[in-house]
Amino acid sequence: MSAIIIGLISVALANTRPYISPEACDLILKTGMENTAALIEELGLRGKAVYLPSAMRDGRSQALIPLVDNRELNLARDKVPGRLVVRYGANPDDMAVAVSTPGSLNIDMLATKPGPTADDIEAAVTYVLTGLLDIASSVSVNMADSQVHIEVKGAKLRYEDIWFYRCLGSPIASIAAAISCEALGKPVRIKEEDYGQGKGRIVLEVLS
Amino acid sequence: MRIYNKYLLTLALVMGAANSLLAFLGNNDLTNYFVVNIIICLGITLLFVHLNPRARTALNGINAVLFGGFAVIIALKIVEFLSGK
Repeated sequence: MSAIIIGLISVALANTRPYISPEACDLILKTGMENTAALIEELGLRGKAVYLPSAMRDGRSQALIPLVDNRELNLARDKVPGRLVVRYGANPDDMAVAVSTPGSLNIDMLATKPGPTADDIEAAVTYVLTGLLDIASSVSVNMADSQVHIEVKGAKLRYEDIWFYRCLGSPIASIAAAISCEALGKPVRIKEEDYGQGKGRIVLEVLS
Repeated sequence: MRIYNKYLLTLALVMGAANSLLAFLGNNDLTNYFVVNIIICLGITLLFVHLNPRARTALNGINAVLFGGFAVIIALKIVEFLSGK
């Protein structure tokens, strides 16, 4: 009896795998990443990206990479215009490049917008990373002092010390940041990210 | 380990343990095995809330069929009880 039930479930689960092969997905991901990386490197952007909630960016969560590094981000506008190069503040050099990230697109996969609590963010990030994308085993989220601490176990996409990741974060951190900024309704920045012994630690800074 | 592997492994282990326990207790009624396995399947599927929507839809279909079987068995038992056989 149990063998029949497990057999039926196995057949059903096998039919729910994506139509696109993992190799094709990898190819598409790398193409997008290389194009964005080329843009960032060509412009010499060294600042850390700020993830904006969809309410501040024409209905889609995106990341702003300031053209001038090492400064506080003073968002003077409620809504940043939906262009590639945008002005976000009152000063003449408050300019940034707005790009879509892997995390930006994952917001659409959530059935409902997560609430601003650590539990809601944890549930949403776990749903996307383990249930939908299958790139981590488990996730735990804690919030304290305008920071969001995220621990990811069994991450399959690791951090690499390349320009693109230093700027926008790894795909896992990017997804966590996009979901957190959407849940909190505030811009967030990836402050720290490190991986070791099967665990990843991501610290997000919530900007006001 | 992927979430699908965890799900199937959990099902196999818990169902195997339950079947062994029923056999050890000398249960010879096939409907008891059927009911216990269905309850385990429904319960464990509920616990895996993070499965993706397509997988969940497929599992909901299977669970609906299993629950139908479970309901038929319960209905037969009620009829049997009420008729006093």
